[in-house]
Amino acid sequence: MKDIYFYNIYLYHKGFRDVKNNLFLSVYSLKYSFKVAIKYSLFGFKTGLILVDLHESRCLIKFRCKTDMKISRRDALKSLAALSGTLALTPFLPIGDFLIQSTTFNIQRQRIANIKDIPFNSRLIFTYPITGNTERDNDPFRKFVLIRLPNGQFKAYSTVCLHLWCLVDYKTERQQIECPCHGSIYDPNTGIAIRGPAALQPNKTLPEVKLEIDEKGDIYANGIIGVIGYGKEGSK
Amino acid sequence: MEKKGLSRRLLNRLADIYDWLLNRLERTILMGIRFVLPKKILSPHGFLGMLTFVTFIILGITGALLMFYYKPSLTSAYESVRLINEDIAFGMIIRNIHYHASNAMIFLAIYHMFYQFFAGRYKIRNEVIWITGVILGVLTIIEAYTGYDLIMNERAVLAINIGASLTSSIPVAGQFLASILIGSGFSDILIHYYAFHVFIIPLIMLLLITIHFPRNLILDMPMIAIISGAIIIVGGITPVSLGTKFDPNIPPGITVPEWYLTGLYAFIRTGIDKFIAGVLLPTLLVIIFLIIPFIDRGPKLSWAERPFATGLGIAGLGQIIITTVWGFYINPDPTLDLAERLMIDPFLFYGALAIITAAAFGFTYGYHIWVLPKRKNYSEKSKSNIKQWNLKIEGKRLLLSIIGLLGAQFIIDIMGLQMYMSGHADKAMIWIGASLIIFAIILHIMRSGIEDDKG
Repeated sequence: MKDIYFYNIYLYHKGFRDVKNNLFLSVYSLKYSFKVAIKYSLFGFKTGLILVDLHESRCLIKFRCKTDMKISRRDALKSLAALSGTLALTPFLPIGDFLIQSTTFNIQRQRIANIKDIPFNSRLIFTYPITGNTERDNDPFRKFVLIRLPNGQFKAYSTVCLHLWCLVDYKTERQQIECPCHGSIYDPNTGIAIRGPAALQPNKTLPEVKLEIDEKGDIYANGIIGVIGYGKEGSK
Repeated sequence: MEKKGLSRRLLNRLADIYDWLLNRLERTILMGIRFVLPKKILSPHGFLGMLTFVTFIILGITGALLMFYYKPSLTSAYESVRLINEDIAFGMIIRNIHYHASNAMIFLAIYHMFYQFFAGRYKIRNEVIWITGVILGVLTIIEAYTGYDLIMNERAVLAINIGASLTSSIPVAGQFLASILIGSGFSDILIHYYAFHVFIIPLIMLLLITIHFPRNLILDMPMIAIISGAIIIVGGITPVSLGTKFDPNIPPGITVPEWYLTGLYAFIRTGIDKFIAGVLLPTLLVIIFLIIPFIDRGPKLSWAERPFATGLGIAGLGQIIITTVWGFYINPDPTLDLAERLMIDPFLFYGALAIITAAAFGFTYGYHIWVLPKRKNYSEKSKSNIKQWNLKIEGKRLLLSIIGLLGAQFIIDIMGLQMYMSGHADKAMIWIGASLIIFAIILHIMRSGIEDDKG
């Protein structure tokens, strides 16, 4: 009986049955019918005592139990079992690797279009880098907008807005890149946000695709400057 | 005579089986809950939680059926939803009920929370029930959000992007959490959201519901039938649409989120940092509701005698309404600059929120200080917190009215069937819902008749 904690509290006999029915509480010692101590245990470990006055049907006092400084045989066995349990779970630590499947953008030289196909002040949405897998190629994170500026120059940017990753588009009538969600506006010459919430962020420049134009007038994409989805560095 | 004997014996046998089953059920966890079947019409305020749970069950059933045809893939998700909506028999009705039940669940959950809040029910040892309830409410909204993202229309894609982006904006853990969501790209996000929507979040919700349930559950069958009927009727009046299919080669136009997220949308549009607007402010609101039982610890339950909590509640409710409505408003003038059209003036917006907050506290403290002392019999009045009405129908009329209603129900069913057969599944839902409402009325007449027999 040395492990039993005992405190004198008043417990009315009427409510005594309710204690036994309660799953969390177990009655440990009963001196005589009105006084009872209840051990409170959590996951099988002694964590404290709750003194219950069942007549009032509420807890009166709660305090930690005074444990014996000597480690009892029972405690030693329990801690060994706990150690074993920890060791059994340790091999599952790299479970985070299962949850994260990272992307690799294979930088490749890829033909997008020919100069002749794209009139002045217009745009073309293209996939880069193309993988051949339709699921992957339909990914908005792999979509870019090729813009032919009114001055004839070519520029290509990611369509993922720097603010909340909505999808931006080049609007020919206003000659600017606009985000339909929260109204971020980008300058098509530089890809820098000029108005709206994206302009207030530390990183204001849309990721840009490096373009190459050969003698036949074919436009090629070759590499990306910047990270698609600002703040997504972790999954690059 | 012999026939009567036989039927009596048969009835006795049935009663024996019923008793036997009831005795065995006493060994199960079911008997820990006491179901109360009210014998009169009760105000539904007392059991809004039960009604919310009923919509959860409706969502579970219709959702499981939708899983038969839905394909969580970037290329075929929209097509599969279109198939359910247009080609599969009864598919439109199932999806429509699923959608409107989700709206009803969010609305009922919020209504339930505010009613319990103003009634001070988070006291009297209900703290654990209250906290699990607030968490359940947040999970309900996340569940609905992951649900409407599965359709892969333009609104879904933008919502997915914003959700992933907001996750990544959380300091310290955000990058890690976002990369769990994103995986190797958008097609992974979709299937991850699907896993959350159909399994992970509902499972957590079910576990929390078992803790959230009080010992006594009011199972008001007529009201449950009315709620189900109302969901179906609303589905018939405003059938759920498919939305514009997302084409990766055409970036979407201006798109407003579902009504339970327009509040967040309004905060984001004021131009403040996305983490503050999209994560911190809503989290703060939730935290305030989580800790209110530990702030408002007095013994008083009535709203008038708890001016601080009531002020907080009215301010919260007012802010939710203002931000939700404001989120829907976009300047319709297309000649204006997009940034200007979408921007919400922060001074006007936060000013309105500050004014509603001040007004809420001013009103409740004013009432508490000046009006309440003059109402002497106040405490006597507020004693009975569940209102009861007795809608009595006398003996002969009782049977007649049931027969009349059954006739009406029969006709309504025929109308619904005819509507369904002629290819108007959405309009048929109005009749299907009406039939359920008549069922509710008959249930009520039945119980009042049984009460009369006892009396």
